[in-house]
Amino acid sequence: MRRSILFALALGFAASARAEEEAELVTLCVFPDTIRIEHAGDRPRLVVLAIDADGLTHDVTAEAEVQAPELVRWQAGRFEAVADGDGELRVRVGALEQTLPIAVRGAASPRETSFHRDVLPVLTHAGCNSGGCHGAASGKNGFRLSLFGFDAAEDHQRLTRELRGRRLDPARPEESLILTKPTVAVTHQGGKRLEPGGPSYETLRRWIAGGAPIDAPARAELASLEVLPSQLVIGGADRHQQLIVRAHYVDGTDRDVTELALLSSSNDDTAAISDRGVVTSGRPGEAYVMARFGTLAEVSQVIVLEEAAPPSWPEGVEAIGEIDRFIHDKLRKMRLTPAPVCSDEVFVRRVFLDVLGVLPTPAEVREFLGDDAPDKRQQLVDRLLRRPEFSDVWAMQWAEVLRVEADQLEPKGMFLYTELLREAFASDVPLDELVRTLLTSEGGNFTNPEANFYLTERDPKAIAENVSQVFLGIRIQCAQCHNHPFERWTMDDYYGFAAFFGRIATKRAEDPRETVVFVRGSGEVQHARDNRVVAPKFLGGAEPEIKPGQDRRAVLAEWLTSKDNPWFAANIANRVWARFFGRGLVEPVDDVRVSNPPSHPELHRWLGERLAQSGWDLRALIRDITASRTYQLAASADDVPASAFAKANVRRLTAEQLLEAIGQVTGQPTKFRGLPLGARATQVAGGSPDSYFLDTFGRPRRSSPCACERRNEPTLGQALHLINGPTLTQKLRHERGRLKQLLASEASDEVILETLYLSAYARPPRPDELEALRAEIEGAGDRAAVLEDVFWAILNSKEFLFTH
Amino acid sequence: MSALRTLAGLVLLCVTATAADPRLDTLVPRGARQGTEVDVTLVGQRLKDAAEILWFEPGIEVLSLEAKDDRTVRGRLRIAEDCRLGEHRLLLRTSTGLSAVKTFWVGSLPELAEQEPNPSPEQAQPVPLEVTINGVITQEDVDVFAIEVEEPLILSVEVQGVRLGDTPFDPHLTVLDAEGRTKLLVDDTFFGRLDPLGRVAIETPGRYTIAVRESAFGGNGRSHYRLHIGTFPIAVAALPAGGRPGDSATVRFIGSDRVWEQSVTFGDADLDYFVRDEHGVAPSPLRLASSPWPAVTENAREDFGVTLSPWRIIGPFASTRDSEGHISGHQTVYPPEEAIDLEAVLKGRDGEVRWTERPEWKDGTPIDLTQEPSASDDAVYYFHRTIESRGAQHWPMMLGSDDTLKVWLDGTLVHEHTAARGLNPDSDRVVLALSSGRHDLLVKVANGAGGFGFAMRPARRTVAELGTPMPMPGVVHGTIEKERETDFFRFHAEKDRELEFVVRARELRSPLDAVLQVRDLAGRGLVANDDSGGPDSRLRFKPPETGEYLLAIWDHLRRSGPDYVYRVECGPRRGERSIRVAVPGRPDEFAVAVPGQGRMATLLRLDGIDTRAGYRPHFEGLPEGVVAQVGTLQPGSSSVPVVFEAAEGVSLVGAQLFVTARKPDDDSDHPAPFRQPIELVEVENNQTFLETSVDLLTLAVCEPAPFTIEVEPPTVPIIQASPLGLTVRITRRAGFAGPVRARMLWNPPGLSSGEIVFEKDQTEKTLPINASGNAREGTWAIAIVGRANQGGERAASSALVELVVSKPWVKAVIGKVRVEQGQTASLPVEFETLQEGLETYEAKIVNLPREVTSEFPGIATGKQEQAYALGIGEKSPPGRHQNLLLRCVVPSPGGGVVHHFRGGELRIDKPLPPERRAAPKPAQQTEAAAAPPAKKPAKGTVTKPKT
Repeated sequence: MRRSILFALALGFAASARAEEEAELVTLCVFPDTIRIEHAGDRPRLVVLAIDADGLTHDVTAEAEVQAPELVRWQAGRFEAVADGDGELRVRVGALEQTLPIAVRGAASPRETSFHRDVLPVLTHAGCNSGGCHGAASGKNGFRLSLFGFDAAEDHQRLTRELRGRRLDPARPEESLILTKPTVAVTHQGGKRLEPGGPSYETLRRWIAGGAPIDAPARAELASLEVLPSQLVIGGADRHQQLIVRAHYVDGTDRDVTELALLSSSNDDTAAISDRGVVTSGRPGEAYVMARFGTLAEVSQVIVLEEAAPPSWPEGVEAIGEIDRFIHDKLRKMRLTPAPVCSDEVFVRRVFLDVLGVLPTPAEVREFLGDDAPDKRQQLVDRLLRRPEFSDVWAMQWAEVLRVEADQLEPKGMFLYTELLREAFASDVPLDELVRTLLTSEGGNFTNPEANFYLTERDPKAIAENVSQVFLGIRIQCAQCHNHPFERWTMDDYYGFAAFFGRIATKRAEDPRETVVFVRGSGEVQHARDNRVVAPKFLGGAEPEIKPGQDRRAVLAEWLTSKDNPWFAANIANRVWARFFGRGLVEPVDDVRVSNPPSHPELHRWLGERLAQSGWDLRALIRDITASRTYQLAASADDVPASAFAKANVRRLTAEQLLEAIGQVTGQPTKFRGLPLGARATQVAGGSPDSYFLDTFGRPRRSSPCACERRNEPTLGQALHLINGPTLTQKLRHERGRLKQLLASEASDEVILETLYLSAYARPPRPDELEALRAEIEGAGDRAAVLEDVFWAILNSKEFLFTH
Repeated sequence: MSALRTLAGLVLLCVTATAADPRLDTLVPRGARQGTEVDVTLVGQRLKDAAEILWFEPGIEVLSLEAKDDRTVRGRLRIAEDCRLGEHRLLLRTSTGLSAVKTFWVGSLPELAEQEPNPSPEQAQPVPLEVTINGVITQEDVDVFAIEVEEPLILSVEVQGVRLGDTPFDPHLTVLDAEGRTKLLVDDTFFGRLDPLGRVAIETPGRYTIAVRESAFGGNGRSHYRLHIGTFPIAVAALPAGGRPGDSATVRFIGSDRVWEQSVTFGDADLDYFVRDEHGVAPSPLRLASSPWPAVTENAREDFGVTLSPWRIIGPFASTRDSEGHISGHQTVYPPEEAIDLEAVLKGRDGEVRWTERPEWKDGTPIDLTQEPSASDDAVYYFHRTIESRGAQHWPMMLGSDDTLKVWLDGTLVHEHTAARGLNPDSDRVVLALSSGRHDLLVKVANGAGGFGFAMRPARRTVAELGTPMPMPGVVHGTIEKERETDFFRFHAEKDRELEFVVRARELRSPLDAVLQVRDLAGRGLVANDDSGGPDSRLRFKPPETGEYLLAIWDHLRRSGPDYVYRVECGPRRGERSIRVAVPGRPDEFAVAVPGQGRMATLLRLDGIDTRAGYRPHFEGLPEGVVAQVGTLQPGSSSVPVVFEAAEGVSLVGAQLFVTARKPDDDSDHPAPFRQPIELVEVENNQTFLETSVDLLTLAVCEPAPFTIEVEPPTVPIIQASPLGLTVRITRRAGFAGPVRARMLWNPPGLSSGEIVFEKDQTEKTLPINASGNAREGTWAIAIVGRANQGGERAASSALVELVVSKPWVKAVIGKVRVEQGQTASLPVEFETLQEGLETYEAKIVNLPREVTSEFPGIATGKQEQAYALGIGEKSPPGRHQNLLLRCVVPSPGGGVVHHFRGGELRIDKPLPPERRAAPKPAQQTEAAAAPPAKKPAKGTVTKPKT
């Protein structure tokens, strides 16, 4: 109930319900929150949404009683202007009532057809300027438009000037190619795109008849886009909900563009969306409806629940910290219940693997299981966070996306760079400081190993792409050639961001193997469209003032790591989250975009803020995460989406974890060339040397900063390698291996089995397992051979290969 | 791991009857202490006949030397008490050859050998506090040593790893206390390159461990190190970083933890200076440069400041005005202008005047002389004060006067204003060039009528005035000590006299990555350089005008520190003058192994020496019975071949030769030194990482080679763009039948040649050489070097012979012709005789296509065009045959002189199929019919030679 109200308040203009009068519907929301009509022909929609006591939303526009002033006419869900003036609109549904202001201007004067506001949206909506048609880089059949109309001036030029003006004929607008082609009056390879006489057709015709003018650029620019309501919770299938897409322009005007926007759903099974903006609910689940208009995109979240599912929440399931509250809120909304908390055996193994990348030893398992302290889980995490393996894990995680690898870097530089990262994590260097160190690095890559950062990639554009993807989780690659169709990133953003890196240069150091990175006093990045020099500009932000002689990168680093940057902290925190849950709140972790929203936006934001407020303390964030009930959930077979975090996601051990675990359990750690015995897979600098095992199990090649390089899906090759590959069998049978030593120690079967179970599964064998295995051993002639088989089976079992 | 164990693991090669071409990899231990005897093992290949260690300087005596096998030689060395500290170069002579140059280090601390196993603090090898440990890091090896510290001290630790010159070894050093806490962790240093060194204060007595490993856990059997532990001083920089030969100066030594001064006497050449104090001597030296030019050190502070005495004033003296208002007193010389005597009583305008001190006059406040009791129109006053400068500097001041003004510094007029004017305190800006010490400033103000006054105040300095005045030519020293600091020096230069500025900073192991720039006094950059000489910049500057300029120097990354010292040598351009061995294709062949009763050649390069002046290399210290045959130095070439010949009966001996260049008629040595760079360590892609040098040329007389080689002196010249064959003969010694490879020692400019191989039954062969079109004319000394394998390579050379490279005597230009298969054609060739008195000669086209015949038309002297009648076969390959080769052999007393000419074109077409022929004519065997019967007459088809 309380959440419902908050929810409604967050959505729009809402009034609290008088619950005693109307039991079912408790809140009424009206969209938009104010009606402004700018000219004759402007026919804004109104959507009336009611929220019931269960938090479900209902489209009650049709039932709503709308009392409009004389200024407008209310017809079929839309307003039409009658006279200029201001007034108030009253909307009533049962006992719920809402008022909102309404203003009418220019009721008698139709607006001139605008190239920006009317023509381009029509062309986009009809698909003319899509990537497959005339929006392709080289156009189609001699006619080229900018992709989704991002370059209005050039499009206007091509429409009006090319082909000696034959595309438009102001004297006989109907004869213009731009109308005859899409209506297939003449042959059009792209088929029929417009209905003669339809509104889109009329828009184009009017514009041509009016002399095909172009707008003054500043006025017509799109400022933002809204999809209303922004969140829906629909109970049951086949319910409908009208959405409104509103465009806001830089001149302060707004406009209902629902029909002109391109609408799509991330999950048609759950929420289908029609051309007219009507959502139809389907299977229970979650979907995002995206609206694209102009160069902007915006989404609305739609949750569909079982019709009959009553809200239920198990007794005793309490949030432990903030994280759980966010997760539980959504679970409640989705009528899901979280799994129970996992056992100590499961927890100790999970947390060792997640925090340190290694298995607990039998002694560590016994110690933890025997500990009676109520906060022993948190105590364990605290102990683990101080162990050196922790730094190795995070140095490796960062080295992966920073592309620390031998093809890019000289071996010594690569080694020192890895050491630097390890040392940074070991000595609690705040993450923002680490990032600033990397971004502003200069000097020789041996004397200043952080300078290797700029040796993995030399092209300013590629550096900008990598920085954006790694530190902000934003992929701006597309914007190199065109404004991003689903995202806000324009070419200006792209080249402005790249300009921060335009002055990086390298030279050979005294040691021929070493390279010195330095900042030149000159060097500019040019825009691909017109070769103009682009000034440095923060991604989605301002053009900073940079003093002569000032390092542009320092300015960038300051902005990037500042608390005001909406992406950095959340992105870093999300990567940490992903390490502990197997998936990010934004997934993939390095692809933040409007059309890929976080599963828990508030939690996503909160984690970032938490990280920043803690002084960018990675360990503090991990403490929060591991302390949450959500992290400590047991795995369950329930069919709930992984993104709900209602249970532990079972994950295959990563390549390094697995190799390390096999080494630990068999007592035969892997020896890596160039590292002393006892060094772990996570310490291998640069992801080399070659290891068939690590490569088979999805170790990233580090050839791109993409988090997708690490592959965790099981393959046949992996299974075969474990079943009879050399890695496992050699270690299993090794003379100084654990099994041979246990056998040599003349330990009893129970002791041997318990040791194997504890080391591989972090739990003692259950009585039934013990029973069965002892029967097997006693029945066989060769005890050693059977035990070897048992050991082999343990190492090939799912319980060993996965984190639970 | 001990090197000996490594050695024990090596499989011995099968030893042939005679070893040769000795290869010395290293000798262990890698060093020893002064005043001790030490057993060393020399490790390499083909060492069985080891005979002698040759050093390049005295101090180490070889007491014994005995080859254990082909890969190991044991020896005992005695290091003299006064043996020079540091790197000593050596090579090994066997009875059949000379090894490459290796190094051996002499230290001052007691020495110990590393003992394995010592991989951890627990298993550390206990060592005394003051010690040098000789060890080796094998793959992934960690060597740990433990010391007991009894009282607080500053511990000094230094590793010499890569600097030992064995391999690109990158040592890493840590010092841990008893609890395992890191006290010191060092990897690379600018001073030691890849080698770590440092000092750390130890307050708590106890056990400390010192660990050495390869920084990336690499290492191999060649990763030797010398670890020095003690309390010795460590200095990583010196200021000034050099001086004039023979001069003594106080040098500031900069260490990580302290800075101290010590007096140093500079040498004739760069000095490897070992800092020392009461605790000991640094294990490795600082290099201090030497140059005869005067030096200055930068003003460490931008403004030294001055101390100004109070003003004194004397006057008035008389003055008059003429009709135009000229003030006579301005020019009249009164006694203060001649000498400053503050006690003098002088005759003034109104009677006796004396100097009076006016402490109440403040700088910046105008002095109103009308307030003076005797001031009036038509008067002159003098002002005096002393300026004490604490350094050499330019010191600007603002002056104002009513009316005229003259300013003298130490008796020299530095400023003058001659006209009447009112008092404006900032009328004139005058810059005083002050040296360190006290100066006299004298000012004269003369008044016409009305106001009468004077004003002075110190001014802010411009960039130009910040520059430390420096001599030219001269040397500047300084430190980039402050953040973002740029140091300026100001010099005078003559128009168009090119100057060269050479930074020596990184060369002297300063961290500074210098950028140099020459600016004009307005601050405009004229020329700049970063990294022309590695991290050390160098630039050349041709002054556009005679005048003052600024030299600016800063760190490329704008870094700074007390050890960021530099030295810039500035003066007229000096080429590097040196003599060294540079045998083409044999980059490591510095030493000359002369076979007994035979010869061996080498090639010397005389860099920076005026080749026209007739300088010739000269050798001192040749063993008896060995003579050097020296080729003449041709103008424009810096290479001189030398052949050493050992007479019969000369015993096997090694010698270190002192090499100079002399004029034949002048015994005074030319100052170019022999300096042979020796590459010790290279890193990937054969790039030099570390080198040393020697100043003697090593020569050895060895066992006779299995063959001797002779070249017949050519009797004819080689003509530009033409070939010549040299007749080479070998004589094998009994029992040797292996192949002998022979090639030119060197190719004079524009010549090229390959290799010939004498198989077992061959004794005479022709070595073809080719001259390019721009081969340099002249008489060049050449020699042929033969090499054979006899359990290693043995080499011997011919004597020097002279080869004349000449311009062509005749000239020929080949024309073009087009013809069909089966036809005949005539190819025009234009001949010209370029020398008088030549006989007629043969001229033949030698690369005609298959089945093409030609007929030599006969050539007369003079200029003429001749046509070669070509017969084209039915199956001659169609196509454009370009670059025809015409070979002319011009008779001469010495034999035929071969000329080659290339060019022309023979185009052979396939006949068209009969049906496509337009109106086929009956076959006519005239030349005209040879042209294809196409629509157009064939162009370029020459039917008759023009005459």
